Amino acid sequence: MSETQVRFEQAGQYDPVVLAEIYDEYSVKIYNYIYHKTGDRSLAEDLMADVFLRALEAIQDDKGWTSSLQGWLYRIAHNLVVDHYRRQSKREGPPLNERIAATDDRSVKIAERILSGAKVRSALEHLTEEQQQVIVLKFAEDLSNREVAEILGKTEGAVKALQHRGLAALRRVLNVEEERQV
Amino acid sequence: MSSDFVDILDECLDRLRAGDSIEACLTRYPGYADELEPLLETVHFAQALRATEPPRPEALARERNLFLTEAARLWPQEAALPAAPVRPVQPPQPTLLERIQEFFTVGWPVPAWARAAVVVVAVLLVFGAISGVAVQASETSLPGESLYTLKQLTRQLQLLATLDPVEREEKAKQFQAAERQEVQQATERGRVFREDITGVITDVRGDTLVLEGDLLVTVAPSTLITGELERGHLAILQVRSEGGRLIAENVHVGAGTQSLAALVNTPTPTVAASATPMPTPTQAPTNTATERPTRTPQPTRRATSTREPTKTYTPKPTFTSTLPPTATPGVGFELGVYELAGPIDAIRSGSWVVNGVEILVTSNTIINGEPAVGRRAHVRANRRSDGKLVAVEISVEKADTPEPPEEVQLSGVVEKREGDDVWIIAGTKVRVDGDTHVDGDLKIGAFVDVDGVRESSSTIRALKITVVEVCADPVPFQGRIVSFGSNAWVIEIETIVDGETVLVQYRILIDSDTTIENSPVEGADVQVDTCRIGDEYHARFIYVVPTPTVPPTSTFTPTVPPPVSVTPEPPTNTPTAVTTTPEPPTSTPTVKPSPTNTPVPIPRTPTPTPPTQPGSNGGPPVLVTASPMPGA
Repeated sequence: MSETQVRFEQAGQYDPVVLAEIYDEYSVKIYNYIYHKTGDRSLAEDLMADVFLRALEAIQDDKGWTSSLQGWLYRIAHNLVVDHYRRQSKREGPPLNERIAATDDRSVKIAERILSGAKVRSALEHLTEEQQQVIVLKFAEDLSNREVAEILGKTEGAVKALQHRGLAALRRVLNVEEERQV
Repeated sequence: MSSDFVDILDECLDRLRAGDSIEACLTRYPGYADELEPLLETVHFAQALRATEPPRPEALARERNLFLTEAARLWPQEAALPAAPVRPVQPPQPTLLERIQEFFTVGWPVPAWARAAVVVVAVLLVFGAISGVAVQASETSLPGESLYTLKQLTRQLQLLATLDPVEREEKAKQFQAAERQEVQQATERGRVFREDITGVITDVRGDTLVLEGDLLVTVAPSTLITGELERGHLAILQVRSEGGRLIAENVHVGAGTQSLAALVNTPTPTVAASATPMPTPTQAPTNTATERPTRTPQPTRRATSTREPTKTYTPKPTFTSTLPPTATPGVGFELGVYELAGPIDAIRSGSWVVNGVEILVTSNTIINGEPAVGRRAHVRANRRSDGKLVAVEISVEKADTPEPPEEVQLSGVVEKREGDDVWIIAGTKVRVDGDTHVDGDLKIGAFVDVDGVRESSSTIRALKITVVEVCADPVPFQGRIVSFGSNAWVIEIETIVDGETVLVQYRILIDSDTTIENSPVEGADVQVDTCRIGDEYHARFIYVVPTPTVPPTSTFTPTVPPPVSVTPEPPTNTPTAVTTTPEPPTSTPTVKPSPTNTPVPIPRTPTPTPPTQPGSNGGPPVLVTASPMPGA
């Protein structure tokens, strides 16, 4: 029995130590991933919590991870972010820049970095879902092609191709936006 | 797109990651430098995403508690619930003390390498060679932290290495007190752990034990207790933390205030055996379901004990069985698990014969399935030192059970539909029937998650389809209608190729999912949202900018979309009249007069990504006129 299977079995039989270890090992990673996609700390905290609650329910239903726990959690996180924005699109929320402007308790430096990240996030919205995934997972989360492939359920070759197309598309979008600003 | 280039880009990205410069990569691949440079520069932009506000510690702690509380709620049987009366039940699982004794008598139930490691560490400790960073670092560790195992191990070895009984007694008391204090601190800090602690019971308040005057431990209904919970008696407890308090899993109460050190020095069997008579072993399992022992969660909990020299996820239940009731005193277990599978040849009282091998079956044996002679069973067993195999777990296969269908999960783009119930998703045939739960609007171009079962090597029957994105690859267009038909339109857009402004024609497909606002007119300006599938662009929404026939008013109000009214196009699926004789591009950009100055009221977010270069976004346009069009 592989370590993955053993860990899944232990979690599925309610081993609070194993469950706590899973939380401690992945909570910040998952938070970062969601933050990188949303740029909103409170939202990232809330969705991160949802990820682990969803994971618990799936484990109890014996529908947990089969190969990579990390990949499985990232997939849940991705789906929750997509769900969130799908719901969000039905009701108007404040623009990202306003949200950032409303928080005045951060240093200017952090705000600049956030704005820069916000700009890239905004540009990412014009990429396909898979291209976005690859860009975020590779360049924000620093995952390898193999890890990204596990998360997306694709081959490493497909990930490389998506990486190429995603970077090309991102470049075009950023160029267009720069030209607009000029 | 060349696969060579994709690999070269990937290699350059790896090199950048390792600290190489963009220039170095361009120098390495001069033939690809022009293509590589902008992409590698874009990585710097992408890395701006890394900027992160860390999560608030209080939020992390709050969500962690919520997670563990929810886990306890979801597994109510396994999670202990407090506030029930204390009841004496079966003998406890081996305590730390027992394990220490086992280690030096019949063998500690851990892998051989771990035992060897203990011996090595003991030797090093005795000779003072392991007083380094690790041990020092472990001194401040608490239960639930990785170094605590080393700290505990060091204490045990110090105790065992102390030859003077008085000194050993004193040390043991110090260690026990320190452990209780550490357990309390770790609990207060919200650590999750399982530990063994020892102390004298100073009070019993309802479902709470007080150890040594200040450590409170909750006794749950599921707590296994041997001995009587009386003040002044020494108790050895296996506890776990939960929600800021300590829950007892096993409590063993000795008859007096013997210390751990004293007990360790006692060569007789375990304190469990000496304190309370072992209950009469239950009858070995028989064929009837009611008498069969059921699986309990305790082996798993035992498996996660943090006392072991090295944390491992190897399931320990198979190693931690106490001697079976039928065991002869003094007969120990050899290390290792034996597995065998085959038909059940016989089921006797206390033993089975599986594939010709006799296996002892005890009240500790976990039996899954319905045992019957002739059925196939898979046995995991420990071998006793007398050579007999004692079954830890037997799984009996069901008779003539058909193979359960293979569960399949699939994610990808809906490529096309074949007939009424078959869709091609990510190249796989997916059958959708009345039992399939579809969450979202399933249509061609959507990105979906599919949960299903395999029907054949090429077909999946979908149980659930979740539409993640209504379009996996949206491509917006803004241009002018060249022609339009019932199945396809040709749209001309202005774009820049190699610095020259040219007009490019794209063929977009019209289907039942297409919404068209306003009647098309050749030459009219148009905005189109398409969904690209392979090299095809499927129109989802088309807004035809009305050509003013009367003097335009100051404000534009879109009219209610009329029913789709299109002129039938000659039935052809091939691009019409591809212009293959490009004229040399002029040096001046083609100016495309706008037929109207009316602002375009497309109700969606700006889409700054019209296809700027044919084929640059994954596939060539279906119909390309590479020559600049004269101004209309």
